[in-house]
Amino acid sequence: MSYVEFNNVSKVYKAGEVEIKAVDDVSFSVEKGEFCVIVGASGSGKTTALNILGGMDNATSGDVIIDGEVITAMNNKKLTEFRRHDVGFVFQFYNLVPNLTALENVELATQMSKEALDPATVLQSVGLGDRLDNFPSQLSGGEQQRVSIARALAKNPKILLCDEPTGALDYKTGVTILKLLQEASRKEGMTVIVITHNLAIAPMADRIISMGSGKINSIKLNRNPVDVERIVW
Amino acid sequence: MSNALIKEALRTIKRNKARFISIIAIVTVGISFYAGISAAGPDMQQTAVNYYNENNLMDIWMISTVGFNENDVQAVKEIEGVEEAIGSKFADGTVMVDGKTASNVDGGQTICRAYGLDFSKAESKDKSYINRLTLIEGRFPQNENECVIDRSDMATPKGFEIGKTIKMVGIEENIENKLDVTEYKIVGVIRTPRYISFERGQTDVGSGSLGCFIYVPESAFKIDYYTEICATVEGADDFYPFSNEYYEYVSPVIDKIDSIAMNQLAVRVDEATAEYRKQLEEGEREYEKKKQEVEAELGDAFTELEYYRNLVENGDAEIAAAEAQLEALLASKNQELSSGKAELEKAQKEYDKKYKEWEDGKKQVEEYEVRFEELQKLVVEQNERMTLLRTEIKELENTIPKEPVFDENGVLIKNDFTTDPEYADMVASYKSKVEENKKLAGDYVKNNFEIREIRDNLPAAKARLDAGEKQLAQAKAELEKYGGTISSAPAEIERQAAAARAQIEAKKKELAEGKEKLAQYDTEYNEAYEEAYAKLDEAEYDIEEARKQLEEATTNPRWFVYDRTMLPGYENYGQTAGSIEAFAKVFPVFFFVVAAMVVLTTMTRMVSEERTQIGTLKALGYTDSAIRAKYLIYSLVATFVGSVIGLIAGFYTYPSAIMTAYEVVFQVPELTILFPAKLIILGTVFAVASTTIATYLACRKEMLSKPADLMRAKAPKAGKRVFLERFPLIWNKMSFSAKVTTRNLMRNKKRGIVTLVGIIGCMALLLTGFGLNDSINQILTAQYGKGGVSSFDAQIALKNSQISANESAIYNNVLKNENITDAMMFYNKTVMGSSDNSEDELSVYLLVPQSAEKMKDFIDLRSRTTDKKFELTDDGVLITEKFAKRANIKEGDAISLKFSDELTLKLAVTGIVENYAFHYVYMSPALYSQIFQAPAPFNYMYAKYADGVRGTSKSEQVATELMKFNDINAVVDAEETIKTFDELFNCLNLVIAIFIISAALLAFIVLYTLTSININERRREIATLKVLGFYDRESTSYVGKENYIITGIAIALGIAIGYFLHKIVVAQAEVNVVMFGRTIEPLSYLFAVGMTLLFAVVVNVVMHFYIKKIDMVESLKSID
Repeated sequence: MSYVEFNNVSKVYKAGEVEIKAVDDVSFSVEKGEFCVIVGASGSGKTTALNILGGMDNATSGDVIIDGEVITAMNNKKLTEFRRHDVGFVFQFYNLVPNLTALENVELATQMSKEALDPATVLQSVGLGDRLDNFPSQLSGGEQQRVSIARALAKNPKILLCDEPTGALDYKTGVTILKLLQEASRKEGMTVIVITHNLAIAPMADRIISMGSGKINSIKLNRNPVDVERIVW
Repeated sequence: MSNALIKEALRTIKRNKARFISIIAIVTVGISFYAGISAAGPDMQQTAVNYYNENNLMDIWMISTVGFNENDVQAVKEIEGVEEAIGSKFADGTVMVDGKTASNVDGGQTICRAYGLDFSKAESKDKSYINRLTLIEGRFPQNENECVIDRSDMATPKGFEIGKTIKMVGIEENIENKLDVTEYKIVGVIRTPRYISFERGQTDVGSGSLGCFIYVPESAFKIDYYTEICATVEGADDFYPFSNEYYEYVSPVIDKIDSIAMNQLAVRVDEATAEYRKQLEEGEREYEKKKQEVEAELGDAFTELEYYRNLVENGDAEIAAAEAQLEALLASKNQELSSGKAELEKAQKEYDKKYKEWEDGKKQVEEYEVRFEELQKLVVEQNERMTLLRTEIKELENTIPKEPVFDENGVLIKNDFTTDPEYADMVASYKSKVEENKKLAGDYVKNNFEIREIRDNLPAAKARLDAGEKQLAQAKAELEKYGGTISSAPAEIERQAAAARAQIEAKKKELAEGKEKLAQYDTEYNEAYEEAYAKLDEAEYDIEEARKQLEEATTNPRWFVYDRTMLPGYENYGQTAGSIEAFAKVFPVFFFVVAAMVVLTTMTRMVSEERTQIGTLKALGYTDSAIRAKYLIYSLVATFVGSVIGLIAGFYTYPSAIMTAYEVVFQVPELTILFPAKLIILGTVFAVASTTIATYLACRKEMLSKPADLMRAKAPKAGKRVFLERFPLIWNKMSFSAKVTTRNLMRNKKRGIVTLVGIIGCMALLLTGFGLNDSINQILTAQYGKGGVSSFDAQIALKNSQISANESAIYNNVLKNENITDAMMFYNKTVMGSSDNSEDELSVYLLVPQSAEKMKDFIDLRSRTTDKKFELTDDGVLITEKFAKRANIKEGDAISLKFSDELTLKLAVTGIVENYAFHYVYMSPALYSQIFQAPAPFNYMYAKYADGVRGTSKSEQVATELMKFNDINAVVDAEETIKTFDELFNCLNLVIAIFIISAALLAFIVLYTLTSININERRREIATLKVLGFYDRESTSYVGKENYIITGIAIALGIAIGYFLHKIVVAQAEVNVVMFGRTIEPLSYLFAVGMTLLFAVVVNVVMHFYIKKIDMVESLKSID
């Protein structure tokens, strides 16, 4: 059994008479410590899949199993706990609390997590050791995203889910962010799932899942992932 | 502005309904408060104007020392400017209802004024019917046995109800001289513009303050002169009644009336003098006659009474003496009996002895007799024997040879015969026979001697025996008789004792009857006495009255011509109506500020939410003003709707509610609801202006921005270090969530302040509301309750004033009552008090106790603020706090007390004492006598009850007992006073409810609006928190903690502001004669804080559900 299993998952929205299948009978799995990239154009269902994976949304049918736990069978409270302890999120727009410093933003997550890492150390490791006391507005986009990653990593989650982490960043900054994520996977053995519309990123992943119109187009295992620095888009 | 834009504006309203409604709500509350409270004053004024004009209230009131005649009335009517003038009659006295003398709220006896009125005009709209009555209930009187009453919670005595019969009684005068009919059945309730408040003004009888009034048919009056003239002035109705213009308009007419007074008086004085002189003469004759009658009548009754009193007084002693006598008798008799018994026994013994002696004697005599006979027989026998013996001896002598036998010849035949066998025998026989004979002879002699002796003694012995027998028989008879006496003795004693007892019983019965008779005769006598002297008093009153009137008529005859300021309560009403406006200035401004602030924050949020749209419109080429117009329309429509609702609600609710609170004080027709254009325009303009400015300000920043900037996501407000972080010692110790909350508080200062102001307002209003309730309750507890100022249990109104307590029978009678532990007489007189420091002239009670030392047992003369105790001294007077405040004087200042138009005294104030109900001036009896050169005529008494009497049925019993004394008119338990006041102040609860509801509205609107803005603005943040795994309640507390902290700070500040607000409101709400308590009870603080917290909690709960609904997916959306 894989670390992350996505079995025949569907998500159907009803808009009046019309049924929209955002995710249509999708199955895939990700192994522990893998760096997985889900690529697809906007509307391909990749974000919905990520939401379900992160316990933010319910699937209409199918099972999601992470580390042996069936996410889809959890009630709201269990889902909250799952998010609290086992999932790290990185958003496209960072979603830092503007009123908290970098350090405090990380603390916001660690103060309630069971096996949290030291916030300052984590920030150090993402290269923000000297920006601990800065507010988000005093940081650049890349720095903010790094705080966001630090926030996710500091919880010491089972999986790290990233939604277009480089979407709002320039190329150079994007590379550093992706490098951080790749390192998390390689060095810490973190299971990282990144969704992106940017196909160019795919080669750096261990597993590349391509989606379109709510279905999986292909799942490709990459035996020789490329270092981020060598990717150009 | 294009159609599309208008459409968009309307859709905006639809889309932002909650926001729209909250603007309407806050504007409604603000405007209704402003308009409502501001309209209360004008409404009250207009109500009075309508009332006065419709009921044709007099502009001029005249009284005279000698009354008026028809001619006077005509003369006044003819004066230029006088529209109408009528003469009417009134008479003052106490009033009996339900068999008791009616009493006032303060426990004093009510003085009632009976006005005469020609009721045939009652329904007419005739201009000559001045001071028209409005019938509220029942009907007008149809004959002179009927009357109508007024209905004031404060003034009308208890028991004045339709269907009851009341009786007017003169106070130290004979009211029958003024009224032909004194008993009236109440048939209706009326209202008259003469008395707009509960104040009834002054009277020249009794304590001097009028308590209530009734209207009776004029035909019930005996007097043929008028006691007053009421006049109206032409055109005076056109002026506002309380204005200077009005007074100035009436004033010249008064002067003209004054100018004719002297001429008119001359005629009336002659008339009156003759009349009074006649009355005086008649009265004196009557008095003498009555006095004689009374004395004769009472004299007989008194003798009889004395007899029984003697009987009763001696009866007990007599009975006791008889009982003692009986006891003594029984004792001596028993003593005698026992000694008699002893004697009897002794006598019996004696008798027995004597009897035995007698018996022995008898036996001896008998023996002697027997012996005698024996002896006689023996003697005979002995004689015979001796004879025989002698013969035989002789024979033997002869036979026995004694000498030698010689034969015949002397020859010895035989010489010795001894040897003869027969000889010895013969000698022996001879010898024995001689011996026998000798012995017999001795015996015989002895026996004969004995016989002689017996014969000699026996008769005497026999006679003695007989005598003894007789004696014994006699003794026995005697003994038997004595024994009989002794055995019958106990029965005899019993008989005698029974007789004595019967006598005692009879005496006792006599005594009991005597006692009964005494009691009966005593009451009868007392009644007769009281009655007789009451009659005599009446006769005396007549003389006094006539004498007084005569004196008045001749010494200084005067007319008194007054304008409406003389009407009780008139100026007070005008002032009250004016003072509400002052009230209206503070609160509404506060509500407006809050409203404007709420609108500003709401609109700012709305505009910032629609940034992109504004940018787009700008990019499309719409002008700033066109874009701004949309928001202005939005806020304008909301404000306008809110204004309309608020104006209507305000005009209809607040003035009526305020008037309800004043119903205790004022008796006016239903409030005239005005819609003052000034208020409508001012309120609306003010509301529209403030919301428009707020909206304009909200849009300003967006209008200045370039479209490109607007279409770009607005950077969230940058985080900032707070001041507290400069103190790492504190900051580092704070929990993470405390830090977050602190930063958030500082981040949204504007919103925080609005919330703070709103909740401070809420807290202050609640505290004021609850505190007002406390203040009202404190009047009663602090005045009459345990440890209160008035420590007496009952107030007793006397019929006749008493000069000296010690010599007063009634005082001693009251003290004798076993349920009364102490009593103090006092003199109570209503005077007008004023000072140089204030224009107010107040009706105050002058109270002179019987002794300055005793005062403290009945009234605690202490200072409220310093707890200092005062003593009544002869250097000046003590005055009560509210009076001091109204007159604006301090310790050491002087007050003026106006006793009459001629007499005004200026006295030093030696102390200001705590008091809550009514105004008092306390004067020592010594000072009084010094001033008036006469002791104070005590007309009241305070009494203290034994434990467990006050406020119970026992108290009623005491009252009934006391009321039996003719000199006591009324007994009022302090509990009754408390109850009356309590009912009185119930209507103020409505005002308190207004405060609480306003506070709640304010808190909810402000908290809810601002919280929802806060949440809306932070949706993304909250969604992120949820994604991070915050539980819903954690998210709520993350945001809600701010509210609690603001609420906490607001409560602290609100308590401070509420404390002062309460002081202001209490000062405003106080009725003239009472002083409200000044302290807010701890429980009220608790309630106010509790309710404010409750509002915060409720809002937080609502918010929690709101937060729960926020979708996490929001966090993923791009910033819009």
